[in-house]
Amino acid sequence: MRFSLAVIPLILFVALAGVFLLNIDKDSSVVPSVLIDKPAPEFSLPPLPGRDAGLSRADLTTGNVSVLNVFASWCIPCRAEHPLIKRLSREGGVPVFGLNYKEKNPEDGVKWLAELGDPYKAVGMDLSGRTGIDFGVYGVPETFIIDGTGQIKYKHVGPVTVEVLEQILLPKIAELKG
Amino acid sequence: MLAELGHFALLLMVVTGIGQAVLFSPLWLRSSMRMIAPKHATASATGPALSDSVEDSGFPSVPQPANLFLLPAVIMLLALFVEAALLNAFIVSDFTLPIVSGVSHSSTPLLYRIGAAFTPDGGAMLLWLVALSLVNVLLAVQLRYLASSGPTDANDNRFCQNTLSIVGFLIAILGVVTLIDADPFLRTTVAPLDGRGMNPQSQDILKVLREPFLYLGLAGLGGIFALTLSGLLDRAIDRRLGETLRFWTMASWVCLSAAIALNAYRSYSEQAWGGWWYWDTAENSLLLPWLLATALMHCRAVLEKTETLKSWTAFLGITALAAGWFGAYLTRSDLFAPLPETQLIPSDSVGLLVAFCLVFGCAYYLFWRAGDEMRDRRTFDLVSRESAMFLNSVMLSLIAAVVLIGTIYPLVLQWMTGDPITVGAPFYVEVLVPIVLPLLFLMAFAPALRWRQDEAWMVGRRMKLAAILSLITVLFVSIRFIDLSPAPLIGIGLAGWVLTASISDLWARLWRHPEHGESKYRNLQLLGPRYISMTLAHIGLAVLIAGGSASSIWEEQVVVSARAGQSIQVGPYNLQYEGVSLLAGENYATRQATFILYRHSLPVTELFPEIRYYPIRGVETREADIWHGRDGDLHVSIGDRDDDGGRVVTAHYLPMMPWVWAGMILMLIGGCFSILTRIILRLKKNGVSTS
Repeated sequence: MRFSLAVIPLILFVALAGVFLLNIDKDSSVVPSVLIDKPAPEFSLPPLPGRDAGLSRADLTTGNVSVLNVFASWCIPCRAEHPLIKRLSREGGVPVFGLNYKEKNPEDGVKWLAELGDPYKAVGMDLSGRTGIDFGVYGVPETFIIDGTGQIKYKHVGPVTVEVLEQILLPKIAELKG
Repeated sequence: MLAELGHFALLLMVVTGIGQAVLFSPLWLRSSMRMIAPKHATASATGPALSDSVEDSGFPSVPQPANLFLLPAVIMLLALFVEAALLNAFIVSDFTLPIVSGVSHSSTPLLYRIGAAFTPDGGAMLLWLVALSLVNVLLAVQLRYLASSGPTDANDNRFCQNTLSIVGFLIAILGVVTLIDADPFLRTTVAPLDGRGMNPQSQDILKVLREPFLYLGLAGLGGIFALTLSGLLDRAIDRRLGETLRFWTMASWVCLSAAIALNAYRSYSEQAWGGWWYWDTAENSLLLPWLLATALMHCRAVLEKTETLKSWTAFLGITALAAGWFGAYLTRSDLFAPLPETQLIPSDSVGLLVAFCLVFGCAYYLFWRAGDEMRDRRTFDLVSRESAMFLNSVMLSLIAAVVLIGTIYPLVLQWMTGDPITVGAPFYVEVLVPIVLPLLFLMAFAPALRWRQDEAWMVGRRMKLAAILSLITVLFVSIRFIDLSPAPLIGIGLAGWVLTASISDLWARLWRHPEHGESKYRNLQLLGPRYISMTLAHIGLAVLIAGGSASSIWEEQVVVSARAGQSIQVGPYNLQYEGVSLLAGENYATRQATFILYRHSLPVTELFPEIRYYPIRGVETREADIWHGRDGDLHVSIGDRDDDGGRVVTAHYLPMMPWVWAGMILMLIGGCFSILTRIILRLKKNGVSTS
């Protein structure tokens, strides 16, 4: 009788462990970032001073995978990740758009790009930060990967590092391009 | 450089852990010997000359008690070095380590840079490892002491070595999990210019203090696990094991209780709505091992006293660590929330889960194999202290099962159907109340019951006073507050029942008629530290329940839009709002409101609730300010500015809330008292025996 009772913990344990082990891969998006697999918000932003093309949602829905990078001249990590954004623009084979977030002075972004180089296909200027809020930006820099239909497929918060670029962003872009 | 050395030390620690596991375990040696030289194996299994015979035959010898300390001491030193290397990286803000840049920032104050070291997975695992290596050393000391104090035989040596071997195995496997899941010493090629900053929610001294207590508690459960398992290996779940477990159950219980208390006070002072328990995953994963440790504490006492409840104690000894481990996995995996983006390559702590399955699969298998031989030789009556303690630990385990189900049910449902649901307080209250109430009811009986057998009518006579007093309390409360719902009323009544029963039992023992020739302090001596600490803890629980029930019934909440100079009436207090000033904290900006608290138009104190803004993460936190009055807490927090220029002020008056904190402190004091007196008594006895 004892014998049969003592096996109960083992059975319960195996059941519990089995359920969890079998579902290891399923769990990564129980509470996903609210924006993942959602269409990018509607927006239309003016261009940087002295440029023609601004940025709007239409740029993201051309049927091509694209990358949206949120940056600001006052943001030090943005400066740190900038060479990698340039690399992303070279190697990714997709257009990289810039969202210039909450500049104090509209000229700052232009100067910053003139100094560091401009990898962006087009840049929209979000002085009020309203579009940033719609995108759920809470720490600049942030980088979004958006598919051809305008759906946000991936969001990276914080500066892009070599590891992030090589191990996450580029494979993700390649995967989306098919 | 220090980080690389730390990394290397961590690797060495794993190797030493494996070394301890293999060298200390005569089991593996014996089984390999049995294959090579069967006659030695039979000789060593029967005679006390186990290690001698091994040495004679030229096989590596099993460590003698004398060099029992070597490996644990080495592991301890390595662990301290690893932890120091990590702390150093945080203190000097070495952002080439992603673990540092992820949760720290150059502007983070020193204290929180150190605290931040415990928050990421790798740091938490290291803390666990350090605590476990401390347990390892203490276990070696304790077992050595046991070996030197009593008559020793080969069984004792084997038991001691098995235990240390199992702890060594735990250290090794947790070290490997740390290296696989969240290696804290990996460097990144391009270091960011600055870190991402500590999570502002964690930037609090209580939160920082909670981590060491939690991991000390978990490590203590690891010690219990090792002792239990090696008892199972020896088929010796007996009185001596119960005695050995005593320190460990008490110490783990105290550490886990402290972690829970800190956590509760933290959420109480952080949130704007004045609650102290939310049934969220982090809290539940603390509560699970605590409940099982409490259950274990009680049936361990039974085991030590009467050598019954063997299998049940062994089961709890294993399961307490399992619950702690599983809880650590739940909070650390991405099952309930997406992992913080601070992690470079998010690991979902699969290693921790796999190790969990491995360790406890083996443990429960062993429990099953040994279960056959763990029959209790003695019996006890239905009306006896054993059965009360047994019922109590069964109920505590039931509560733990309910909490576990409530925690993982949403996950399992999501895996099966895909619907995300949440399980909140209503579920727990509905399911737990029918278990907790009888538990409290029975709890009062246990101290008054006799071991082995007792008579129901005798117990009734002893409990008479307590029953009358608690009925009077219930009547008084229900007459005074006529429209009260029954559930909290029962809570208060039962709290009164436990309280009066504890006190009247104490009273009865104190005024026991001294036998002829006894000194009048004899009664006091007879109480003993165990009884005193138990009474303190029971009274503490009663006080906590009374405070919790009362504050939930009579809580008053006022939410107003206040302008400077406005007076807010809440409970017996009057809060005068003086306005908000903008101040700079060390790494945050804060809008600090000033309130003057009046009672009967006399100023009592000033209160300063805040809204802090942490620019590094761009996150706001709200810090309430609390006045602990003699009849209740006043909890005030501020919100945003209104459209019409006023400030949203939330004030709570929680009557009897200080009882909750006092109850927790009493329980902790009870636990500490038990440990301290035990140690002092041991040392004294030791001094006497050697002199």
